[in-house]
Amino acid sequence: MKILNKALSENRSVLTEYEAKKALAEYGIPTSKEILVDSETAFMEAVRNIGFPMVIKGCDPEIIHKSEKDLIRTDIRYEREAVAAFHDIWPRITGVSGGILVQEMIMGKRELVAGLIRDSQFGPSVMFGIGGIFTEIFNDVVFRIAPIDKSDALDMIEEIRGKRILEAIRGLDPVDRDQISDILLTIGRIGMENEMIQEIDINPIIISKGRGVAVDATIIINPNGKKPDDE
Amino acid sequence: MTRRLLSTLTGRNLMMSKTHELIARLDAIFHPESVAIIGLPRGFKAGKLFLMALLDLKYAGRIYPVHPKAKEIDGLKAYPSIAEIPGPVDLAIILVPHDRTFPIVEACAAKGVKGAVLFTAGYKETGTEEGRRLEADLTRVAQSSGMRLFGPNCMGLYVPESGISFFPGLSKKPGSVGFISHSGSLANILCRIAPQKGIYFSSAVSLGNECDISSADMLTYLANDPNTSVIGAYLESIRNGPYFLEALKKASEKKPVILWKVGLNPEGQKAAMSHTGALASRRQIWDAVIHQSGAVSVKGFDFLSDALMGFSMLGDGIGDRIAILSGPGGLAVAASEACGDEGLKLAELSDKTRSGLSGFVPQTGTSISNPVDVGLTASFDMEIYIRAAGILAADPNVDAVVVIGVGMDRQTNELYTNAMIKTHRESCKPFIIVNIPGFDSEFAQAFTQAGIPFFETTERAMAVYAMVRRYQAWRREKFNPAGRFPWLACFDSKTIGNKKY
Repeated sequence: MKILNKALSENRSVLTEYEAKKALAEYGIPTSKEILVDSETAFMEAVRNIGFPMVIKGCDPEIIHKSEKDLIRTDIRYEREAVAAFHDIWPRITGVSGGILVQEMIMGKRELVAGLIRDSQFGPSVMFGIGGIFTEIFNDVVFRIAPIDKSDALDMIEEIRGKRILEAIRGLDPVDRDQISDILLTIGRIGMENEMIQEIDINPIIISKGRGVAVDATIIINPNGKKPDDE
Repeated sequence: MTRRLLSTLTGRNLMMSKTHELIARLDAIFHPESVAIIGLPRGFKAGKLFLMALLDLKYAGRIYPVHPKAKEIDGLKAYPSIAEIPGPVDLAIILVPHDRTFPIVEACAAKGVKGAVLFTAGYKETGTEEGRRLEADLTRVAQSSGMRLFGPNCMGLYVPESGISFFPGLSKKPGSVGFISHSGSLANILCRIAPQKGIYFSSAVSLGNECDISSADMLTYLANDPNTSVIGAYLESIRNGPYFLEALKKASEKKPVILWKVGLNPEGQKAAMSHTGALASRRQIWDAVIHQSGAVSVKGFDFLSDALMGFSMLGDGIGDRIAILSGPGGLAVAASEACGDEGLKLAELSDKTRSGLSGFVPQTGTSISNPVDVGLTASFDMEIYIRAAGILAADPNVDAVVVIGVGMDRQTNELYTNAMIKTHRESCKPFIIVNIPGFDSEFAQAFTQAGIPFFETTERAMAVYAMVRRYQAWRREKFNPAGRFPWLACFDSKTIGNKKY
């Protein structure tokens, strides 16, 4: 993929959120609509383009965990809020491929996580589970070794402890398991087809009207394209 | 398109013929007509075990000791080198120190030896560059000559049917369990205690560092071995994960594969950059392997041996309605709890069964509904146990009978044991016998020899029974998915293969 090669040529091992989601979108994974800008003029145009409510994020290849660095402003509803967010975040963006990300705000109460890790013994392995900022605390995730098929992906969804949140609870739409399982299948395929990808993290996938949308993502690459080794 | 199809077909044929070749070669090694022991000591040293083991199992083929100076060892004619042995050699056991091993391995390959066991240590496991290099040299010989290597740093093979063994004192009786171990001592210990649990082996192999033959190769062999109906393994590290997973999937489709994997602790996990990386523990990845393959995961020696016993004794198509027959009331309650924990049901006893039981079970301190508690009197009057077991086994609502009982002396115990074995045979239903702590289970072996599993606790008994049942259901589902065979939709797919131990 072009995006991967660009990051490699810049000697980076981490793709920005913008690049990661572009890569995922190329494979057909639904992602939030967004525009990356690097000037105030472009920013104002993007704000008009995306519409309210929106999310404004600092996008910097040097920074993986944006919320820890206070680079995310959600639920922006007015232009003056957007401008304030820009002036607050923009001075802290330093990387060459960085910028400000103007993003549609995906509305949903349920957050899932999906990802990929290249295991040293078994190779690319797909993850699925309960997402959001407490992902690691709940630790409600399952893995499968890629390549996976549809029934593996559906099994993964069945297997998490919190699977009941995927049902039609509290007036929410039931989650489209077929669509979620397609995302997992695709992640497995990305892992099989791109040996240089070491890790993928899509967190959160927000459920909106029953369907998952990738709202934030990280991709870690290794130029040597490490293969599963012996031990 | 045609060309692509053709190349796919050729690829598949190539793979199939490679598999056939592996199986045929291992089969020849596991049934050798002659064995050379290279570096067999003259005196009573550790290496002598390998000769003692062959003699102990009354190996019927030719044994060739190889020793640079000795003319004979323990009455067997010795040869100065492998090349000077007059006839062909199927299996070589190599006991010389690692700095002298390589030319001997080469000489074995030149002689046309089919397989060699490398007892010698001092290779990759030392973590040194030299060890790694020496091991890579061995792998190269195996690959270029076609001679297969076991080890280094391993005990080799135990195949009772062929009369070969890695240790003296193991059972001569062949059985249906095939066992793979990364530890030689653990393989030996399991094989020693196995007959007490009624477990007998088609073959057991200690693989050591796996410079050539790997656990995945062995899974492939045992999956296709008609004498093996249950596969067990103790695994430390997996070489070539994707090949292992593929072999494990294929094996599990054919027969139960019970795996005890160590090295799953979170210690040593690398600092990951993403959530996914941080959450991908070795245990999580191993769980994925278990789920995808349909293999059965166990933890610890007791569970491994109990599972091998359960899988080799419980027949196909076992049900989930359990009848419990107990003397001690507390254990009866504990057994029903264990039943529920494992997703099994307490059988709903028929009216006929209840009225039958009420005819002879004492009225106080007992219960004639499931779990059936026959009380202390039964330990003196074995007839109560015996009749109750017969009635429960005859109830059409009962799929299996768990008996937790004991006699007060040798005579009552013998009566109890023989009667349970007889009732089990006549009913054709699975019986599971559970020990009562504090009482001598001297009759345990009588049960296991009769093909009835005997467990130390009801929790272990129910866990193993449920494990067997889940595997059977998974396999049925796999080959008869409910979509194509709607009458099978009653199997609860949610619980299949989802439970781990």
